Amino acid sequence: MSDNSILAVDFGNIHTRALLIDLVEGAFRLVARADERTTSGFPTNDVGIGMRRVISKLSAQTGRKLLTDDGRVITPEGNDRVGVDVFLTTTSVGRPLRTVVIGLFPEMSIASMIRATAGTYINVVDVISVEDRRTTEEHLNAIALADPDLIAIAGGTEEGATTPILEQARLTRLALRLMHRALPPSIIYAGNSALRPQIAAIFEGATQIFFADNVRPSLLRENIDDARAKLAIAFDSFTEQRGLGFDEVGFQARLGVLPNAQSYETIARYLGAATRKGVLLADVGSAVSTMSASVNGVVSTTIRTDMGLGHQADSALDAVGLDKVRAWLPFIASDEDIRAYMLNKTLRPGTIPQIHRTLYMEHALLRAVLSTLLKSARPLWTPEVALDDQREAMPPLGQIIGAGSGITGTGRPGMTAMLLLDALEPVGVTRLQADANALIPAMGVLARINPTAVVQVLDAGGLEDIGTAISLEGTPRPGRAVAVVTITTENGGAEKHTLEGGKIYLLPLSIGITAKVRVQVRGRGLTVGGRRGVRAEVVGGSAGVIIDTRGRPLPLEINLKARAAQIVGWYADATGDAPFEIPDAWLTPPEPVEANVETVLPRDAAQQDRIGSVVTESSKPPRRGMFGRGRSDQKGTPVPMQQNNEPEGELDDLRSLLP
Amino acid sequence: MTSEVYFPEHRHLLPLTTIRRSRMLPDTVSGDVEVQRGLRISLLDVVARGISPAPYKLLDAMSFFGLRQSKDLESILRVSEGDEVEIDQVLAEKGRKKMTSPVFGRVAYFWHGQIVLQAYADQVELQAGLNGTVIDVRIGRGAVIEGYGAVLQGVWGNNRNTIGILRIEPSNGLESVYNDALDTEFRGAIIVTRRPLREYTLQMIQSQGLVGVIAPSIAPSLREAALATSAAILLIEGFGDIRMSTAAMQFFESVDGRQAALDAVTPALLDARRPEVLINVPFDPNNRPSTPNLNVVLQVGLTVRLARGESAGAMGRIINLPKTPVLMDNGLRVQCAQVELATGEKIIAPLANLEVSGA
Repeated sequence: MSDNSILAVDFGNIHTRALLIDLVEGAFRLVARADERTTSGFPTNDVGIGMRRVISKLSAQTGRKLLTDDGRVITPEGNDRVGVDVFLTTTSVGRPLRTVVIGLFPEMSIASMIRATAGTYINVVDVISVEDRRTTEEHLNAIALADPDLIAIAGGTEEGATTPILEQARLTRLALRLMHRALPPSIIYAGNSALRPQIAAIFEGATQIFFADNVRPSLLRENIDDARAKLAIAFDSFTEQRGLGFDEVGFQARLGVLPNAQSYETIARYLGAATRKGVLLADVGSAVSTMSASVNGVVSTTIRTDMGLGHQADSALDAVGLDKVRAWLPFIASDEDIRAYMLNKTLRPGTIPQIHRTLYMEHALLRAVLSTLLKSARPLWTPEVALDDQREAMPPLGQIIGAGSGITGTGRPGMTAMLLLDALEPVGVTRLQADANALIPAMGVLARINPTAVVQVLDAGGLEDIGTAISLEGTPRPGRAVAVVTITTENGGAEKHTLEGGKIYLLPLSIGITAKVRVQVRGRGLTVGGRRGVRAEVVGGSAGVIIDTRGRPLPLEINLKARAAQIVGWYADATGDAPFEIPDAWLTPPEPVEANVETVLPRDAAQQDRIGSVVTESSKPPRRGMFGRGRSDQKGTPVPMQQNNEPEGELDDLRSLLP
Repeated sequence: MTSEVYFPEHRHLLPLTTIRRSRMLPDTVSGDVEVQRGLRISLLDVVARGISPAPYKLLDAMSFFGLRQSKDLESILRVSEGDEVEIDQVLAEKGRKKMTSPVFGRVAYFWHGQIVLQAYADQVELQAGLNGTVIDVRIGRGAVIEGYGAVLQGVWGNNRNTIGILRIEPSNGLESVYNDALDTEFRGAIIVTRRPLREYTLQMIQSQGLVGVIAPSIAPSLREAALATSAAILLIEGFGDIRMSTAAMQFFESVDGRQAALDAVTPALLDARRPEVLINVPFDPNNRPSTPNLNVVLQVGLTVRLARGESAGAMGRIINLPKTPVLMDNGLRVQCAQVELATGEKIIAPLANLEVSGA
């Protein structure tokens, strides 16, 4: 069977995105992409409807029939380019699998099993070990009343204990029997493999059981890869069983419906190995946030199912704390103001900020979520070193890829770059990219069956290049010259810029164009990547070359007025728009403040007495025309990237890395 | 993305429509469905009953009686699986030795010489919530009911439901509904208030025993108090200090005095239910109302509701759908529509912020 044409659909909680990949002149290329609202909730509650809509858009773009008359994906590809060879699906939709982890010892099998859950949307609701001091009855209730979707059992090295594991399995079987669930929780067993026959007998006919390699075959060895793969299958199974039309979708897809977080780790591993630089992928979705990284050869994934910009906005506020959000607001905001915004975002998760005030609120949460995600993730990058102090400089990252509509959907590449820089504070030279089309989820799954296509599509510019950021460390003084930048393009043209501190500079360099950049810093204590200067060959992007002279750590002003000026100034730097004039009322302590769905503003008494009134801003900026005025971003036309000079070498890298 | 084909968010506001709703027990509740397909039911009828999960007790009878094998327990048992048991009721006895139940509950199972009891918990009753016909039954879970009426969906509820006559608050506000009025016009009613709920309003709702309240908004700090209130509370607009939109208020005025079912479900990820109020309205049985249009595509001329922005809650008509993203005042560049409000004002709004009523 040939795998020459690929249709990939990713179901997010808000958007369903589809990609069509095909052979173009002998190489795999992304030929079409589309998105549509996910139809998992009211009124249809069937993700298949959104999938058919988005695939129909691809058909309309390409003139290629992809669906049968009754709405099924046509596979394999037939004559006249009807259908596709491969249909793949990934998802982050819905709540994570509620999981009870059962094992022998917290530091051994249980720790390994919990590490194995990274990469799948799992919420560990209870951990039961032989060491915890609960009674058998309490263990029974812990399992039965936790209402789990999955029970993960580990324990026992390959030559080790058997009896306590079998006792736990029998207790688990009793809990299953008592639950009376229409869909009982699945079991994944990743303990002593000698016990598989007994474990199978205990759960026979009771539920679906997955056997994985022992996550702790010996005291000193951990082996979680097979458990992770089986967890992905369990996720697929759960996804299909829980309705929403995933059963029908999964039946059509070659590999079922897989968690897209695993794709992030797969691609982080590949890019880290291929570029030999630190790579960070950050996806802030509506209900889930995921960060995968490859740093110094260590690949890790962190998933936060309590943080998102839509369905989990309120929960995210709890996770990050009010002060972290407030720190990024250029106005006075009470706890109630901030909470009201997040609650309303949770109620209408797909909506977009429509005025300045709410844009700042939304972006404040986004930055706080990203930095909190980073804080969770960093200790995993250096397991032998405690590097979870956020004041420590970031390790060098050669590439950062942002995903999720909050990051990629600004329509302003400079704004997207600023958000990534603000929250992640990379140092040195970093290529910034955005994955607005869910390419990475598709690539991670595609890597299992066609790594060639993955290499070629990624090399051909499937991701949006925002630009290369060069960030100064230290404390550059605003208004003072802090760096001299020379950009020499391929045709020999050179530009020299003297840059002031405290700003974000976007220097034009189009997508796909490379240039040599030399940065020399001026000023005591300032460095770039730990040195006084840097020379680098950089890749352009929709925002060009981005020079961040604000310093590291980012010096956010504590004084409100100063911070307001700082933040709106950075927005202006990043977009080319005139700085937004913050109304005085935003900076002075309010009289009783009232909130709108959209905003949190004072209202006059007349408004309060008017039925159906709407809140208006007391100080509005001058309105633009319908299509806006002022300087627009440099808007580059996507062009194919240059062919990879060493495709086979990278392909081998990928083959060796992928399952 | 192009703007030619965009399926907007639905939040229904329909004066008369065919209503199809699933009424299912929670996943964790085991129960029985009490209706059959084709049965005509009224909104107060119970569709299914079940029992919430409650803690289990493990009683080690083998050790207690010094039995050698678990099968030896059978001969001394005084109860069977599924039996209801009272506190101190004898479960098994051997000679003078008796094992009694520590809980009021049922015998859940016998397991390796142990008696598993489950304490009784609250019974869950699932009401129909609308007058209609059962069109599908899911064994052990619930039913799908189809009926006719008016629908208005809100954004948040306190996870309670109720049935009553829908009444608009007195002109001087919900707080003026004290005993006298409560005895007459408002007792057992679902009251619509134009104003955001305040702390004292919640106290009044609780003290006066109101069964249901529909309000535009509430302060976030009062969310927990609202969840603890025994009355069903439905928010139409959201959290903060937002007044009822004109469109919603006109809807309520048109159905004032009619019987209504208030399903104030708290929105949750993957829950397809929306907090809503369903209202019985007369219709011609020979001319059944149509079902909501679930395949509405944004197009010029379509009436939409603005979900955010300075005109949040207002209805308007799309007068232009630019094919390319529009640079908004706040600096975002996104797909937008130009909407003309009833006031004649023309505004630009992101497509993502437009909702349709289902008409």
